[in-house]
This record gives sequence, structure tokens and C-alpha cells, in this order.
Amino acid sequence: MSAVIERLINLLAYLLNARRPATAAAIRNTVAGYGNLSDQAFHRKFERDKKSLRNLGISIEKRATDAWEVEWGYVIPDENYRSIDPGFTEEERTALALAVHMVRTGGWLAGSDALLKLGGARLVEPGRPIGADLGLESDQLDLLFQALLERRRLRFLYNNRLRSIEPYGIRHRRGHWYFAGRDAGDTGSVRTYRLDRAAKLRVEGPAGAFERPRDFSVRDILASLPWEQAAEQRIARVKFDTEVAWWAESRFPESAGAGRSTDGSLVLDIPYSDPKSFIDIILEMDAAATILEPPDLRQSLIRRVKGDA
Amino acid sequence: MTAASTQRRLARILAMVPWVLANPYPMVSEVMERFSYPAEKDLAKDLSLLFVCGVPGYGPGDLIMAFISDDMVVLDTADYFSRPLRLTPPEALGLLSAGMAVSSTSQASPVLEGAVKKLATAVFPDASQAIGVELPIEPEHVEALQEAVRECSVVNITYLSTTRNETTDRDIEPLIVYTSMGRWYLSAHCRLASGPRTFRIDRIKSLHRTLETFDPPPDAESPEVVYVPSADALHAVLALGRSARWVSEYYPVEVIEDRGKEMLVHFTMSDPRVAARLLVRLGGSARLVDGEEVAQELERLRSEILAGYAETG
Repeated sequence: MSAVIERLINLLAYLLNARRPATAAAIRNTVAGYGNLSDQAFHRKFERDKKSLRNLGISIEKRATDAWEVEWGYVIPDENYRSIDPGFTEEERTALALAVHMVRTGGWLAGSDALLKLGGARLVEPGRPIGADLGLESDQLDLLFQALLERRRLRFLYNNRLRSIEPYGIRHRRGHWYFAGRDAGDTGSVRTYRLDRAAKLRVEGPAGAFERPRDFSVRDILASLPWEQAAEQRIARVKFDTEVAWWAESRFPESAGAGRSTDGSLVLDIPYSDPKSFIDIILEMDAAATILEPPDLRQSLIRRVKGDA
Repeated sequence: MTAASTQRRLARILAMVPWVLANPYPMVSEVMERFSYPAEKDLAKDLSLLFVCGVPGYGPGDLIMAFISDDMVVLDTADYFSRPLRLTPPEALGLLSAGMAVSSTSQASPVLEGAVKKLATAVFPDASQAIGVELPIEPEHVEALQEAVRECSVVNITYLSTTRNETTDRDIEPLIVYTSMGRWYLSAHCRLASGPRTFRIDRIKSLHRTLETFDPPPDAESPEVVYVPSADALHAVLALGRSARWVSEYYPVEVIEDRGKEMLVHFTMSDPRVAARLLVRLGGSARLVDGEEVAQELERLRSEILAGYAETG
């Protein structure tokens, strides 16, 4: 409704021009759109308006109108309104606009609102569309990101244990969000957590509660996870039936081919480090792939198929 | 008008105003393009709304000057709106994610990379390396499929099915290429099955574009692996041990009972092979509690696989 928008714009114009905190009474009596309301109706409307503006990134705060703190009023603190200016060139803005239009998460274009606030961009020939399920609509992710931006502590349940950490960074990889931070309660070490395994996430304490190490990089986030560690690599020899030989060749580009046999099957020597996930991949091919060597890997697969392990 | 559309309209106005103030008298067409106005009348409506807003007094000098003149946008007496709005955390996250996601694919460019770096530094002045987004490595055919999606070309593919590991040939109308849970998928209308199908791109053996094009459905975007059980769906009950609990997040199951050590779930599928293959993969960490068809299929699959080991032993 345009009446709502007009009132919000008038409220903003009034508060941005005010030299000191504006009392509720002053807002009610001077800003167009609040006239002729009962006390209750005014407060309801004003609270709703503050919330609408907060959703847009503008927060209205309550401050004392003078040093004696007798009277209170509302202000939009400067730091709450000023945009971060990344100093994009027009070319960079266009590249970002392209990216925003390429990445589709549901029907929603992630980042399009942000791009408008940064001045929008001229349209160019669209790129090849990519659908990406980045899980951006999660409230947990919003909380995590807020804590990260404002350098506030995070509290959550992880494996049934209550954790309280100083969040350092987040990383999306292999379809999941991970985050890392210093665990204050524990040994003070930096640990990595998977967001969808964290429950009852809460942001707590004041902003700017800690300093991030200057050299912190998201590359460190997953380094502590077992499957990201450069474990010892071994070589498995696997036989693939003719129908799936092409799949094996493109799935394991790092493998060495021992060549096709007369029946068309393919034997590959494939490097692997985690036996469990390697067997998962091989089992995807049902009976069309058979591990020939090493014997212990063969045995693990046989035990798994028999339901023994 | 809903609260959400009011919010969007206000957001666009508050984004457009600072830009016009910083770039005075822009062409109407440029403002429309930059701020995604569908029609000139929508922009004109927003300007006439601004025209009746301003600071108390609300007299001629207090109201915002906003109108279209000679195909140019005129905006004045609104200096207090000259600073662009702050990004909210979800907005910054959305933009960074989109930029970083594309940067991790074959469509990356040095310009985009530079923009992402600037944005990350502006958002995290103390640690620009605090966020990273990587899409999984693209298998072969991703690019060709994206082209086909964009150009609405019917494509013929040779596909290794996920349920039965059978190779089939089919004509498909590709709708969107997407990534979820670390894999790349194609959502398409399959002419062989006469219905919507999701294909795993790494299982597409070969593809070629036909000369035929198709009319895309109006709602072609649903990058999600959705499984809708049909009326003749099969049912089974599985018991998932601790290390198999993830199944309840990835498959369309209904939790019957969670005993902590074991979780009983109701599994729905169109082909018993789906549950049988899953059970083989899960090994000792899960067991079949109920489901005759699945039991038979599981037995068959086990002996097929083990036969290969007996032969090569």
C-alpha cells in the first residue's frame, strides 16, 4: 500500500534530519501518516514500522535526548545507515549482476537486493544458468553470518554438547555449510562444525567481542576434518564391466589404465585414501565393478555387502 | 498488496534514490534497467509517491522533487537520502555467495573475482578470507547442458540409471542444471518417461543436441531433488544404526520411532532396488525390518555382487 510506504519515507526523512533524538510524541505529532491515532494504535503502528525498516537494514535506536537522561527519543545512528562501499567499477558491478542472475536458489535470486543497494547494474547477455542449492534460506545460516559479521559469540548444541565459540569463518563445500571458531570453554582450540548438525544456535553478547586472527582463512576450516587431511594414498585395482567402463574413466581421471580386456571390461589402478568412501563409490555400480586388489579392501567390501560391517 | 511486496517496493525506492542523487538526471531507461523496473509506469508511480513525501511542514520546499522530464529522472531536495543503504547480513551473504559460487565454476572471470574480493574486504575488513563458497567440480557435459537449457534445445542422452544401472537412450527437454549436496543434476522433461525426471550429470554417458526446440514451462525453476511417491509405491521399514542416521535427512522417509541407538523409518520407493542398493551400501549399520520385495531384491543384489568376488578370488 502506498500509504505505508509514504509514512515510512516520511519517518526516515524526519529522523535523518533530526539533530537530536526525536521523542515518540514529536514523531506522532509531526510526521505525516501518524495523525489521529489512539495511543495504542500509534505504538502498534510505530513498532511495525520500525520492524519494516529493520528488515531493510535500517535500525532505529532509543537514546536519551540529553545528558540527564530524563527524556528518551529515537535516532538512526549514522553507522546504521551508512553503506559499506566496496568501490566497484561498473564492469565489476555487471559481473556481480551476471552472477546473481545465474545462481538460482529456488525461485529466488540470491543477492539481488544487495546489488540494488549498491547501485544496480546495466544488463548484459545472461550467462549459462546454474541452479545451486546453497541453503541460503536457513535462519541458522543468517544467525551464524550475523555473528560472524558483528564478531559476536555463538552458542549451540553440537553432538548433545553445549558449545560457545568465537566464530572466525564459514565455508560452503560439498553441499554443506561449515563454520569454524575458537571454542572458549574448551581448550581454546579452533574447531570446525557442520551447520546442519548444530542445534539451537544463538548469537550472544556484545558486538566486537573478539578479534579474528589476521591470517585466518577459510582454507583452514576444513583442514581439521578427517577426509580433508592428506591421508596416506593407496592404489586399488578395480575391474569395470563394459557398460560402465566410460563412467569409471571419467569418474577417476587420476587413475592409470591397465587396459581393456578382450571382453571389453576395463581394469583401472585408482588412488584412494579413505576406504569407506571409496567402497561407497564402487558399490554405486552394483555388480558391474569389482575390486581386485588390495585384499584387505576386497574383504572390507565383501563384509559390507554381507552386512557384517 | 502484501507486506512482502510493500517491503520490496520500499527497498527498491530507497536503493534507487541515492543512486539518482549521485548520478543526476539519468535516462529513464537506465534507471529502469539498473533497478529492474518492469515498466516506465512503475518508475513513474514510485516518483509520484516520493513527490508527496518529505520533511514536516510538508510545504513546497519540504517535499521531495521527483518526476520524469524529457525521458530523464529529476530528483531533488532529498539530500538526506544521498547515502546508499547498508546491506543487511542476509543480503551481503546472498551477494557474496552468488559471486563466489560462480567464481568456483567454469564461468569464473578475473573481473568477477576482483569484485568478490572487494566485497569480501568491505564486509569483513578484518578478515576477507572469512568466507568461501565452492560449488562441486563440474562433470563433463555441464556446459553443453546449460547451453541447451538456455536455448531450449531437445537433447538426446545415453544415461546410466541410478536405480538399476541400466543404460538407456532418451530424448529430454532440459530445464535447469543445478547442484545439491555436492553433486550436479539436470532437471528435465523426459520424453521416454513422459514426465519430469532428475538426472545425475556424471551418469550421462553421451549427449547430442537435436535440431528440435521446445517451449519451456512457465515455472521451470525448482532446483531440488523432489521425490513424490506414486500411488503404486512400495513400502519397507528399515532400522538405521547411529552411523546410518543420515539416511533420514537424504531420503524421503518417515521416522516411526527413534530409540537413540537405532532409528526405525518408513521408506517409500517406486522400485525395490532403491532400498536394496542403499542397504548394501550401509552394510551392518542398517537392517531391513519389513518389506518382502526389498528383501528379495537385496538377496539378489548381494549374490550378484559376491559372485563377482567369487570369480576373481
